[in-house]
Amino acid sequence: MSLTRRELVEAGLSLGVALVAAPALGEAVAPLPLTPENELGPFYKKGAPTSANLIVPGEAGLPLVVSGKVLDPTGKPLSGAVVEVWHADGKGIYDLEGYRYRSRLVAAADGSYRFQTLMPGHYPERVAQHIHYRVSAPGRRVFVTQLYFATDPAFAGDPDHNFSKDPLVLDRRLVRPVTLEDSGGPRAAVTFDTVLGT
Amino acid sequence: MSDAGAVAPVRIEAPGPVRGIAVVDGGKRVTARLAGPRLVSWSCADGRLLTDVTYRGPAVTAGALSAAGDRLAVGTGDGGVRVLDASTLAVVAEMRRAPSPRGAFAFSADGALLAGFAQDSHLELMVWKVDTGAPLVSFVDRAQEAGGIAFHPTGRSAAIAVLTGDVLLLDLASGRPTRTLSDGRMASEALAFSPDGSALVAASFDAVLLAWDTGRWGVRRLEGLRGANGLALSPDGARAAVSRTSYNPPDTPAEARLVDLATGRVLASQQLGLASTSAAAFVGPGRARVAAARGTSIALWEIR
Repeated sequence: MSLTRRELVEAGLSLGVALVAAPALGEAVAPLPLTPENELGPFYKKGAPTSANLIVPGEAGLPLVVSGKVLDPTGKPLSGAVVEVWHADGKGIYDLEGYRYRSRLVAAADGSYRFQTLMPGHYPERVAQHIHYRVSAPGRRVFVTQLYFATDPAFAGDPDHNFSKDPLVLDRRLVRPVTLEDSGGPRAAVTFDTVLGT
Repeated sequence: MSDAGAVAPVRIEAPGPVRGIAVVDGGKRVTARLAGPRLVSWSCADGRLLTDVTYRGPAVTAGALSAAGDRLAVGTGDGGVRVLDASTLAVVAEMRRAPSPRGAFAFSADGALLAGFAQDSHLELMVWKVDTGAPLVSFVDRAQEAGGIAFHPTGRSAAIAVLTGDVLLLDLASGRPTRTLSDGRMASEALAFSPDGSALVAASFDAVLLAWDTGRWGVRRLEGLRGANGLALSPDGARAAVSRTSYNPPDTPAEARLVDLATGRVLASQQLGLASTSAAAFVGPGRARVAAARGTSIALWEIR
């Protein structure tokens, strides 16, 4: 069978359409779901120090390590993204005049970030313990959210059903599992990846 | 610095828990908002009850009282925005074309303009002319969350505090921002122009008063003034009265201060006990009336 030029062009166009529809030789990758946004709240403060250790010496509380990656929906790491975090101390009090429990982190080449702190207390006007996030990456809208903890007593051991006891927790996915370890004392660890849209 | 504590406060018992409070009508009256909403006013001079009215319309999402105390703006869940006579709660005007339910309102100092912020967390502002209900301007910035608004006394511009600590100046003729004041590190609890328009002051959560002169927009930074959910400026813009409530932690005593904006000197201070809401208004160049409430208890002081 021979093809006319027109048929060749049409075949090529069809092939092109097929390639577009199935990139990477048929391995279509579903985009990662965007991380839900959550409000900024009144206690964001510019100019936090760049420190991966937020623990204030002498303050009591459960040590907590939070780590994760900043990604785009294709899974590409957003290297250099600025991750600002802030939270209340163990008594539920925010440091407004200084920078205790506030940090400005920069995502590594693989999009990763990590910080250690103490588990936040319950701020009196909120139900759930939380850490605020404000993530800035070049060319993208600033992303704002909050991280919650599945072990929070406010969720009574069942965050699937109880996450909305805090009316500001609008999405169950923001409540992250907590790994409790005992390595020379109790310690909690949480992983929280953030997937940013454009 | 003088402590005005020697002057006995006027104490008032409200008929229900106070949700918000305002010192209105040049400091002559104090008005409390209760559940309902129910609006109750007393004389500041002797605590005498003046009015007690309850709104019977659709469920209210937000409300605000004019500085004169004669108008109440209410927003309802269906996006409706009404301006009511504060003494009767009769509808005076319906504001038109509210795109979504409003979460906060503010009147201009003369009561001629009304601003309403959307309930959503992003900045979506609409400004109406109160007498006709006609929309004057709208402004949306989905990258920002709104903290508050103050109208310039001319009604030609407004300042919007956003939660990153910036203050946006908005031209009300074009609806466009003309300047961003980035001097603040934290969101403002309160924002006000002086009655003569010469000063704009923001009281931010990090215990800083930022005072701009509105000619050159130079800023004076006054540190160590913790919290100020009540803020009023003297007629000439030379002094500020600030009052803070009990929060973070909630057992922190509330406090009011009279501050010289040129020097940052605290001219007078007054402990207010524990308070969940407070308000301030100048009653003369060097005198301010301060109200604070917790539960059903209201107390009024004068600081000078």
